[in-house]
Amino acid sequence: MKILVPVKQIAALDEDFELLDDGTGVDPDYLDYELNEWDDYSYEEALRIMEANDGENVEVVPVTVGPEEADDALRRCLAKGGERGIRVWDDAIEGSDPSAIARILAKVIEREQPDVVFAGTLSSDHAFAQTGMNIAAVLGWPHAAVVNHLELNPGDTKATVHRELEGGLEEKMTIDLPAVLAIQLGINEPRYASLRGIKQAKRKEIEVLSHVDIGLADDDVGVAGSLSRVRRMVMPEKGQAEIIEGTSAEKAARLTEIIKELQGVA
Amino acid sequence: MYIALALHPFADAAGRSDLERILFATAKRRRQLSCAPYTPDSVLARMSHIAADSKIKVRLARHPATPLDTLRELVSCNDSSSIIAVVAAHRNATAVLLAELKWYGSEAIQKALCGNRNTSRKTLAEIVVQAPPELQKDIARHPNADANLLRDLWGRGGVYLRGEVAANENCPADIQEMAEKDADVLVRRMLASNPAAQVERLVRLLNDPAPQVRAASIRNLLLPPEEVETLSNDPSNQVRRSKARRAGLSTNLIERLARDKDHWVRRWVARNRTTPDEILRQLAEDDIAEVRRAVARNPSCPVELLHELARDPNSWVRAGVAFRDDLPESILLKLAQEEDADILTGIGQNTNTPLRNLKRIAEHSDKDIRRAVVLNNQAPLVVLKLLLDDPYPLNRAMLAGHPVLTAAEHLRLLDDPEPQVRFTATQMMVRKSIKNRSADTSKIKANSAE
Repeated sequence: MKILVPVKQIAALDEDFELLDDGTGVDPDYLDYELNEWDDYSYEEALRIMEANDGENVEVVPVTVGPEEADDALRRCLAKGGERGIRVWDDAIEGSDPSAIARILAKVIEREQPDVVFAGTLSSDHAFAQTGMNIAAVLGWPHAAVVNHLELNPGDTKATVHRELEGGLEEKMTIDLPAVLAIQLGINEPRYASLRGIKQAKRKEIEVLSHVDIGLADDDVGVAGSLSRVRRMVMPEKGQAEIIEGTSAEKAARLTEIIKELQGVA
Repeated sequence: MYIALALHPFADAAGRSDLERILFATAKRRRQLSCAPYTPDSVLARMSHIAADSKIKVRLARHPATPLDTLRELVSCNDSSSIIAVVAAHRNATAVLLAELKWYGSEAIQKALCGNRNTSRKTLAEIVVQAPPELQKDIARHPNADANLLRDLWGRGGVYLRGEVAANENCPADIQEMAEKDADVLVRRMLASNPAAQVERLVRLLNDPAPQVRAASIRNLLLPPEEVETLSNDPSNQVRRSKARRAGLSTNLIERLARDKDHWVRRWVARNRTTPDEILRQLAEDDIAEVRRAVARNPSCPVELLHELARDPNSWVRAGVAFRDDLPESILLKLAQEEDADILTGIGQNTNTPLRNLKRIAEHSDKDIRRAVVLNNQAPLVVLKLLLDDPYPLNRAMLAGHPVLTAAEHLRLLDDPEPQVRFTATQMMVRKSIKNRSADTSKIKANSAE
């Protein structure tokens, strides 16, 4: 069984950040990079299936789309388990939206022929929550989003998943494989990589491919290959929030006033 | 970078210059260091000389470790109100520096000054003249607000403002008298909490119709314990809970409180150091687990009760026993066999836990249980070494600061992937090296004298 896990190195904002001169994004100087939190859970879920079968006949492969720095995200995964990773990048890929990223990942999936793909439900920087489902759409595969429970073993032709809905409801589904599953936080407790694993990960293979290597043209990726484009990023005007200060009694009095105002009571 | 950061305070001028080439190599690094909590003040001081970026200057001004000289420099080279306001709030800013700040026209600077404990009475008196209501309260709360200032503020009205005035330890006697008769419960309660209130006043407030006022009076440590006795059978839970926390109560009163229907009252009695043994025995059989645990946590709890509580059906109670440093070995060994996380955490931190039990805890699958051994400042080196490869970064970061580690372990941690670990390990190595050198110097001097 092969499980492919797309992962993303996300950008975390520093305080007092500045926007780029063209207003389309944050100045990279104010960004720190780390592995997307959802991908910690999706990768952990893959590792657990591998370990439940004593690692026999189960391969877990992390894959990412990003420049060289994104190798950190792959090595962080490989430090916990897995023997190789894949990174796709070319300067032409810069500016790709989720549909273009999904197109790239779908090509990698076609090449790798996994039995199942575990994506994170969303990434904490751009929060589109589209990439996983877009991959399934490109491939024409069955898919389920916001998966918070999974029953799957090597050799299965179907998986049983629970999906998280509003109000604490869960939906239980059976899904044919191969499939794309967008994994939700809390499905497991991600492990911390051992120091030994971190050192070993430095020597594990990361295959670097360009979009051309996987059969895509320049028009299929980047801004040209995207369905959406960022026009501007702004910090909205503040003013809706009020910080209530004072002693507990004062705060309570002010809160009471606000509640009465909202309820239309004088 | 993190090793360079840890070395900077200990390096000479030439060494610092070399280290700064690494530390200040990029704008991003300078920004990061200007607000990182672990940045030494020697680095902060240097940054104020070289940083042109106003964002960095604000971060420097806000950093709690920024020394006075650096703050002074930031103020003298900048007239930006945002930087001055941040300096005005800084705990290292002295009264002299604060008095030099130009606050007129800036609410932000005034607010910062009114909230800074180091601001002088003179500055407060200048600000109060046209201060809006929020600032008036900050001034009323200020320890340097004197009697005249407080009298002025009292006259401006407003129940919250009067409350702050009444609670200020510089509140004059005439204002205290008015506060005692104030129609508002808040004002009388704040007066009762005044650390300089007259005892006679506190005694009178014990008979206040509002339970919050009576409770505040009881909590005031100026009130002698014998006065607390007068409030027997107070109908308010809040009052009785406050009573139960006082030391020096009579046995009669403690006995009554130990049978109180409110379990919080019984809990406070159980935790009270002056509660007699026979009452602790009674409370050790209370229906409520939190009461029993409070007995276990009472420093005066007799050993035979600890044996009983170590067998309590509730693990939270047994965990209360596990954290005691004075546990007999028989109880310690028994609890060390348990699997409950809170109990094992207590055993792991216990300085008397035998080696084999510490090892078992240091190898536990739960990272939070393993950390208990790191928190044990007498854990032997052989056990701590097991944690050098702990997968959880926080455990390694805390371990790096453990007093028992030697240079060999610190050297190994310099290779750690986690920056905080490398930083702490470097710091510890340098500090120990300085201490050893100083001890050697003293020894040499002593030998020479002989």
